[in-house]
Amino acid sequence: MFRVAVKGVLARKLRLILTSIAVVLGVGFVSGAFFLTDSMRQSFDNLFTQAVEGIDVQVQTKEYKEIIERQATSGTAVVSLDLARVGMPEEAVTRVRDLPGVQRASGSIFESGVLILDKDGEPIGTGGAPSFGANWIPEAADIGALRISEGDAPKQGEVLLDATTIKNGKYEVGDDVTVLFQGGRKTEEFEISGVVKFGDANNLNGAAITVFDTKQLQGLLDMGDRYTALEVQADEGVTQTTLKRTVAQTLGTEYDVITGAESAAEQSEAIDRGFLNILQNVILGFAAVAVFVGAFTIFNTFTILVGQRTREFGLLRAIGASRRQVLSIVVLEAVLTGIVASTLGLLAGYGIAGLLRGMINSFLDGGIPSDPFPLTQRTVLVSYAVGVIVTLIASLLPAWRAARLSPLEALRANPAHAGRGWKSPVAGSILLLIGGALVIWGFNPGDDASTQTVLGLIGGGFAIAIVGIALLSRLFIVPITRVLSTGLARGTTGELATRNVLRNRARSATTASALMIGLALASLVLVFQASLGATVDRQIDDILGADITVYNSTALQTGVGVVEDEAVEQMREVDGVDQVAGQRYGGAAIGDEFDPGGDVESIVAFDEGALETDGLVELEMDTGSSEPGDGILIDTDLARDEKLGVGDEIELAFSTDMTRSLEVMGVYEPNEIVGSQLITSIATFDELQPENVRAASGVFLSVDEGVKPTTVVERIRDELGRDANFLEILDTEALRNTFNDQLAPILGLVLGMLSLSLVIALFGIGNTMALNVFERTREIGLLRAVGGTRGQLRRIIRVEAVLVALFGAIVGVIVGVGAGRALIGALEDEGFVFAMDPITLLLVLLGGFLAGLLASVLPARRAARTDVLAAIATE
Amino acid sequence: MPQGSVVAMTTTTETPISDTSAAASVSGAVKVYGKGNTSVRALDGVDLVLPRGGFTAVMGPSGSGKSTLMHCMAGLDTLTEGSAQIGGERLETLKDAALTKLRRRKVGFIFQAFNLIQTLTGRENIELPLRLDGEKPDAKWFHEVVSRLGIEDRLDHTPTELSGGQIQRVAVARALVSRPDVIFADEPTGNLDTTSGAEVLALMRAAVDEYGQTIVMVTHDPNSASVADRVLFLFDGRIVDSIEEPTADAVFERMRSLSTVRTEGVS
Ligand SMILES: Nc1ncnc2c1ncn2[C@@H]1O[C@H](COP(=O)(O)OP(=O)(O)O)[C@@H](O)[C@H]1O
Ligand SMILES: [Mg+2]
Repeated sequence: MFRVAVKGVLARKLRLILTSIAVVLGVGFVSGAFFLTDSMRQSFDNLFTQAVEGIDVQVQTKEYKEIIERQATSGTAVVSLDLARVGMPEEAVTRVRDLPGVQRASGSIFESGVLILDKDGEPIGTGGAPSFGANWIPEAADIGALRISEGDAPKQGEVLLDATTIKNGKYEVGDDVTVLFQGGRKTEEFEISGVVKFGDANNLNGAAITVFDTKQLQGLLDMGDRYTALEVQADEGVTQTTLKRTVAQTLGTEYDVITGAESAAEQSEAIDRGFLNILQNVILGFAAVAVFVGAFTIFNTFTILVGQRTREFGLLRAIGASRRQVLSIVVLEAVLTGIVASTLGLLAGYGIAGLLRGMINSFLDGGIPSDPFPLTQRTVLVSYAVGVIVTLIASLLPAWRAARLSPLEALRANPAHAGRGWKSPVAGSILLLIGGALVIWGFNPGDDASTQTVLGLIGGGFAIAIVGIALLSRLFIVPITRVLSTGLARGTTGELATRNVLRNRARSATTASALMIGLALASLVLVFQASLGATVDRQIDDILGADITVYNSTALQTGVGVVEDEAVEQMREVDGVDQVAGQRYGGAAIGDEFDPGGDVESIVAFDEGALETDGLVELEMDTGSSEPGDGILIDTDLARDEKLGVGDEIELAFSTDMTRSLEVMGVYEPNEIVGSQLITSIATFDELQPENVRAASGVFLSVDEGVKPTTVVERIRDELGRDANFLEILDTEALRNTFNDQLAPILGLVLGMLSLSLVIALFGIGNTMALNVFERTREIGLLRAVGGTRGQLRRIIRVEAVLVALFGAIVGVIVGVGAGRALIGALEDEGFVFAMDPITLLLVLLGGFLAGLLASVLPARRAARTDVLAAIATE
Repeated sequence: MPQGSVVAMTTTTETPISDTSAAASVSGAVKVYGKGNTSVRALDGVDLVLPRGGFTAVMGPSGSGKSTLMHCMAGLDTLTEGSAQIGGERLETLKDAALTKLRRRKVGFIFQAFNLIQTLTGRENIELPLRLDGEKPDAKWFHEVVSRLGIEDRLDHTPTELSGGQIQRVAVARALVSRPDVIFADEPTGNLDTTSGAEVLALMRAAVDEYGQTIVMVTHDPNSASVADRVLFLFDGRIVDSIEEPTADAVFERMRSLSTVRTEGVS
């Protein structure tokens, strides 16, 4: 049987290679994801290992470490970092320095939120990556990854910049540069004394680094004589673990002591869990789409090929082959195809990984070293498993069908015969129900369900439902195609094309499914995006009374971005400004203990007047007053969870180690602009919060009647001068746009997936059309004989492909919009409103139309070239 | 010695080749398939004129070039040498598009099998050549043809719902409905049982007698051939004999003698 199967594959090699392109792309993305992330992991590991060279033990205070970890996971600054309190004290450094076995003990500073301004005074962007300030440690100049590639070490008043920042800011060594600290609370001029690199990389994984003189940086960060860490180098012959033990014993339990190796591993792991994990999952997401869509194409091709060979199988059966042998021929062919496709996919993976690395590097300015891609056992195994299993699954049903037939049935079979059974719709309905149930389960998981389980339920449910819809869609292919053809498929050729689409509904529907899946995904995300936009709009319209919103644009990078009281006062004086109110933002724990690593809620305070009726923030009260006074306002969710009402007391603990019982003065409906469940007065806030958050995190302004907000925005800019450079001053329109901009990367991903699925569907449709043309050689010959021109034949194929593609696109958009509707419905409690943009959805349909058109080019040409005599003379 | 000279038979040409009143004709027709050693001379100098309103049968052993002759005369294939014309148009001067149009308007086809497009109904199949031309059939003529062929009640059925005889009748109707200069039928009854075959032949005969249609038909069966006005015998790409007003017995006799000649010629 093996020989028959090999011959079977070889005889149709072009066909099967075309078919397996989908698998090749899928496997390519799978292996590409692994190639890229493996190589990046390796180079990061190298970099971190290099970075801890000469650091045998590293010490940080436990509190500092907890706060940093919290900021990294929550991404917000509900727990502010008071370095003067939680930093590494000089006294500890000295104590460690005097220990036996210590060759060197240096205090090091590595702290985010130090921004470099370009020559126009705008912060130099890092694309969302952090921007670090570090101290220069002279005794460690020749060890570690950080090296001066040009210029000299920084003295007082001087800095070293990383190579990427130098380039982006168009600076040179010797230039003066303005550096911004603590979200703009301080700015300072420096002379650039040199350039640093990390190993060979221009920057550290996209992050910017500025290196200062130690004393000066301590002053600018208000950290007294403290550091963020202590690095210790051991004497010759002293092991890292011995030194770690000695240091830990000396310093006590307040400190977190780890070896250099552990530190490198921790950093690698953080990158692994963060950036690399996301990257890998995104690429694997693409792979999943490609493989899933590809499975339909493979299924279709095997069905058609097996159908065409039914007689051959009948002959084999007649001369004594058993059912199992026939089955094994098809299965073996599938396995061989899978192996070939996986091998090509592995190769394609190299290319895809290279392309992606190039793309990422163009964003990160060479932040990823171009090491060769490692071919690990895992990559090979997973690639072959994915390729072979998918091909196998897709071919099982056709194989089983071929084997089921009796020899005589098989010999008599008509390959183009269309199955119109009741089984598919029933199976489709069942699958749709199962898939739907899984998705619903995924949205309401048990308490102990992991993110992976939830994603698995939703993704798996969606995939199963899609297969169900693909099976069900053949029920609608007749009406939809009929409607489409009245517009697109006029005349005799159009009618012939339409009949061809409907001749084998199962085949047409499966072909269309490949396109349907990708477009369903795309429209789902487009609907979600439009709804998100509408939701933001509603919030801006309903609960934001302000005409202008101001916040610190460095907040994301520094975590502490504030608008100083002084600036707020300046805004108040601007002509055309009516009301002005700042909002403060801090953290608090419910109860009597504040643990930076534990549960911390955000807490806000507004300037006088902001919360009044028709005020700048429209707070809808459930009960009580909208003025916190000496007490506090809480939202209805918190009131329910903590069983509190007006007049009750709530005990709160703060990072300043203070605790306070506050009376609930009012309960309000959850409000996205407030963005917190706790509101106090400014006085209470300032009394309990650390100094560095006692300023506005955002400012709301209204303008006088008849004045254009845009004009006022300009006046505020003029008034604030250079200080406005790191403030976002937005009228409602601009505010809307910033939200939309945040969605841009998601849109980019969707477009990517859309294109990928279009490409695969294109091959799928093209392949089916080519097989159709082959199957209908005789009919095409007849058409030519009775007077059909080549052009007319091309048109028939073209229209057929477009009809199939549009059918897939329409079902896809309907499914996507439907799923989006359901998703938004489930999120209605969170304040989501449903919206969709007909234009983008029409563009999706247009994409389907073009895919059909493009897919038909080669099959149409082949049909037009059909040799009439060969076609009619056969047999 | 080439076999052609052993069977020294001349074709009876009633009309000169230049006579455009003929429905179709070929002169000096040579068709060579392939090149070099493996080349086959499927037609080896055929002169043939099909007078208007005539029913011609072509007979000959398998591989003698009958289908090739049909194809070359009908503009489905091109001659290697010689010339062919239909309704006054010289085929060798025409490009593919023009040839296609000519097939639509001036030629009708009836094949042995796979005559109809599976997705179209009987009516749509009949109208197909006209529709491809953007024309509508003349309703009166359409009705006349389908009622004469007795397929009025089968018009809305697809080929899978029709019997073999009905399929061939639909094919005859398709060939007739565009009133072509000539209809080429390559073993049109080859796949039918005797009764259905006889019916289809009778209808083709009627088309010639009642509508003055020109028909050329390839057949293996002396009985079928006897329906025609004359029978041509093809042998190794040449017309080697012909019978006017044939009877089945006469045709049968001539076939026997030809196969004897062939056996002698080969030995
Ligand atoms: N496309 C072709 N290529 C090569 N040889 C061909 C082709 N078509 C026909 N022939 C050869 O030409 C000769 C005549 O064939 P054909 O006209 O089909 O004969 P008939 O119809 O009388 O059986 C045969 O020898 C046949 O093998
Ligand atoms: Mg023949």
